[in-house]
Amino acid sequence: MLLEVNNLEVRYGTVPAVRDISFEVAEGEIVCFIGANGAGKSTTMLAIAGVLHPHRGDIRFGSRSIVGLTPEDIAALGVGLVPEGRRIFGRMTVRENLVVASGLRGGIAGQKQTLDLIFDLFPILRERFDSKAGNLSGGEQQQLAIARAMLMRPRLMIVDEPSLGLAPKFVDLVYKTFARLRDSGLTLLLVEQSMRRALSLANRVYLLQSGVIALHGQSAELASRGDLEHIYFGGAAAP
Amino acid sequence: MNAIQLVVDALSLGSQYALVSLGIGLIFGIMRMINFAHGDLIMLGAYALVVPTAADVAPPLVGEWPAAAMILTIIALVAATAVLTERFAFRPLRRRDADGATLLISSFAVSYLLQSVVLFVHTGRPKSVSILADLAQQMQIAGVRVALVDVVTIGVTALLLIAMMLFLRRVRWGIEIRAATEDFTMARILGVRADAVIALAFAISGGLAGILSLLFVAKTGVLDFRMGVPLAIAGFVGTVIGGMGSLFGAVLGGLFLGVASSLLQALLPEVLRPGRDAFLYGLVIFVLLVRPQGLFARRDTGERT
Repeated sequence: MLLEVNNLEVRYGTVPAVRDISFEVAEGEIVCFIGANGAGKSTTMLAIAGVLHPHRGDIRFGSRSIVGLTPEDIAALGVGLVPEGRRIFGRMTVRENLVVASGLRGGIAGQKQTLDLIFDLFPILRERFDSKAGNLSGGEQQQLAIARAMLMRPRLMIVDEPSLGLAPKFVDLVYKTFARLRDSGLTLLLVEQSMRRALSLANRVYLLQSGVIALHGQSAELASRGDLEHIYFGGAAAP
Repeated sequence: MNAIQLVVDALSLGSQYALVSLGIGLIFGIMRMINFAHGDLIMLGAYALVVPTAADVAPPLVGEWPAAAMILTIIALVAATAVLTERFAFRPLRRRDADGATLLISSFAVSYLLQSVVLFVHTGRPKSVSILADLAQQMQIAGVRVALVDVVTIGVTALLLIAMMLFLRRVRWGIEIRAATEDFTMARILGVRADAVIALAFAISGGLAGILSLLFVAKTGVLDFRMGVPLAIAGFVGTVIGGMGSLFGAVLGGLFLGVASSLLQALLPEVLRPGRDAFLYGLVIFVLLVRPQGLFARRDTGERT
C-alpha cells in the first residue's frame, strides 16, 4: 500500500472533525473521497499532508509512519497536496509559483520534461507565465495549482475539490489531466462533492459522513446502488 | 532651513526607518511575529565597535579596523546574533504553535536581555565613538552644504532596497521568502523548509540591522544601551502604516514616518517643536483610522489561513 490510514481522529480544539477513519490507497490507483460539506474530507487531507496533527491513529506512507513529520518533510517524501481553495500565491507570477514548487526537486531549470507536460496540458500557463497569478481566472488558478503539485514530482497527488466553482470546460480539462497523470503512473487521491464525476474516474470511492466512513467500495459497484444520494445527504445505508 | 537640506534630512531619517521597517517586516511577514528585539540588534552592532569595558571612555575595537573589514564584521556579527535569537528563543515556541502574543512577549524578553547584557558590561552611561571619519564632512549640492553621512545613508539604503528587490524576485530563496510571506503553510506544503526560510529571513533582517548600526553611529557618534528602542518602535509603526505583510509597504511606511518626522521638526512653529512626536503619532493614529489596512496594502494582504 502506498498510503494507509488507520483509526485517524483529528480534532479542532476539543471538537472531533474526523473520528476513527481507516482507508488505504494502492500504488497507481485513483481513490475518491465524496461527502457533503463538513464531512471531514479536507481535514483528512490536511492531516495526511502534515498541516493538521492527528489526535489519534496512524498515517503510513510508503510503509513508514508520517505522523509528526512537518509538511515539508511529507512533501519531500512524495505527497503533493492541492488544497481546498487552491491557495496559489496571488501576488506572485505564474513562473514564481512554479519556482517555489520545483525547489523540492532541484529547481525549475532541471524539470524541463515536467514543464513541457504542464504546458502541453495547460497552454494558458505558458501564455500567462509572467502574469500575476492573482489575475488568473478560477479555472486557470486551478491549472496552476495542479501544475505546482506536478513539479513536486509526487508519488501521491491529493487534490481537494478540483471542480469546485469551475466552469464545465475547466472541469473537463482537469479530469482529462487526472486521467493522463494516472496513465503516467501517478497515484491520485481526489476529494469531490460531485458524485457523478468522482464515480466515473475513480477505481474506488469512500463516502464520508460526519467524520466517519459511511460507505466504501469499487466505483462501479457504488454507482449501481440506488440509495447513494440518500446516504450522501446524511441518510443511513440500506441493509 | 534650506529646501535641499530639508529634503536630504528627511530622506536620511526616512531611509533609516525604511531599513528598520524592512527588517521587522521580513520577520513579521513570515511568522506574524513582531520582533521588538530588532532595535537591540542595531544597538548591539553599535557596541561591537568598541572594547567591552565599564570605563567611561571605550577605546575602539572593530571600529578602528579598515572600513571593509569593520563593515563586514558588524554585519556578520549582528546577523549571527539574529539567527541565534531565532534558534534559541523563537523556534522552540514556533514548533509548539505558540500564538503571536507569546512570540511578542518572547521578543520583549530578548530585547531586555540584550539591553541588560550591554548595561552590565558597559554601564548605562552613553559613550562616544567615531567611525568612518570621512563621512563627517559636508558636501555641496547646488551650492547648499549638506552632511555627507546623510547622502551616504540615502545612497546605501537605495542600493540595499534594489538588491533586496532583485533577491526577492530573481533568486529562488528570495522567491521562497515571498511565498512564505503570502501563505506560509502553503509554501511548506510545496516543500519550502520552514526552518531554513525563517533562519534566512532572520539573517537578512540582522544584516540590515548591522548596516543600520554603522549608519546610525556614523551620524551620531553616540552609544546608548537604549538607542535601539525608538528605532524599533519607528520601524514597527512604519510596518503597520505601510500595511502589514507587504515588504514594499513596510519600506514605504518607514520612509513616510521618517520624512513626516523630519518635516514636522522643520516646519512646526518653534514653540510646538518639543511636541513633535505627539503630532507625529497623532498623524499615525489618523492614518490608521482612515486606512486601517495600511497606506500601501493591497486588498489581498494580511489574509492568512
